[in-house]
Amino acid sequence: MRYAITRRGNDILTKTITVAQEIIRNAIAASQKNLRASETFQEELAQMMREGTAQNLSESKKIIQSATNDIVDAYQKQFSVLSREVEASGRFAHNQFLEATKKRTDDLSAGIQGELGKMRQELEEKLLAGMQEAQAGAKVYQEQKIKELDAKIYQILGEIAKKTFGRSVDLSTHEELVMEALEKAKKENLF
Amino acid sequence: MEELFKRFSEQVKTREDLIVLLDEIEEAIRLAYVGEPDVPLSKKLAKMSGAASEKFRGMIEDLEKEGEFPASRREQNTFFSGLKKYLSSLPTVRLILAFTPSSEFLDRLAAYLEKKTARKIILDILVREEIVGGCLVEYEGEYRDYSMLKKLESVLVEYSQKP
Repeated sequence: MRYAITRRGNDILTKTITVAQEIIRNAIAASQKNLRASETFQEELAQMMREGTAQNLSESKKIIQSATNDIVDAYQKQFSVLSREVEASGRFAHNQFLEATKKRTDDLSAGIQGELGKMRQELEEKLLAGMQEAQAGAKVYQEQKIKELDAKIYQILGEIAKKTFGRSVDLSTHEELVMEALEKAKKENLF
Repeated sequence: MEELFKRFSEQVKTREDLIVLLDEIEEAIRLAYVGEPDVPLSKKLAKMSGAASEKFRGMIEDLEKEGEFPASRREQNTFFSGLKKYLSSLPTVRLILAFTPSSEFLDRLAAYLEKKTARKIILDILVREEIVGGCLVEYEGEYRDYSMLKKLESVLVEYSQKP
């Protein structure tokens, strides 16, 4: 009996093992299948990703290109308008500047001519005054020199007179000359 | 009082005499306040030396004897102040001569001028030999040149103007 039980147990065990092996094989097969499916799917997914990415990239490039073109066009237009405005403003300013410069130059010209005329007149007046002053100074100098010369002559004359006949005049003659002089002064009502 | 002042001025002929007299008056004013007040000023002035001082002292002494000179110091001070003012106001005749005049000639000049002007005159004598002879006279702001040098100059000017 014991044998029978053992045998029965062995059968069950064998059957169990067989079933288990079967299950394992099936599981492995399923796993392998799943693995293969998974690998395929991964490959497909990668491919899809690559394609999607490439497509996205291409589309993005196109969008960016388009946007860039739009921006460039807009700026070109804007710059074109701005350039024309700037050019027009510049031309206007240039004309204004030229006119103002011309007017200022004309004014300055007239002013300078006036100033030059005035300067010339003042210069002539100063020269004339200077000449007159110089002439007056020369005249004064001349008169001064003549006076100095006269004084010198009289001084020399006095020295000569004193050394020649001055000594020959005696005291009584001196006194008489003085008294005569006082008489003359009295006649002239000096006292 | 002016008569007394004239007596002092009669002793003065020249500007130098006047300066000496004014100095003597200053000294007398100073001495009046020195020593006893009863001592006559002439006694105090006896300490002063020189002929001119003796003459001045003599005049003070004469006035004291005549009782004309003030006794008090204050009155003496007033007297001398009046005398200085009188002497300083005397008119001056400035004479520029070619020679140094003698004392006698100065007397003659003073007498002549006082007679002609009818005033007491102070002579201010300057000697300039270069005028050769004659004199230059200045009186009360008026001036005349009667020198021989002036005559020579006139001759020279006349000669130089001849063609």
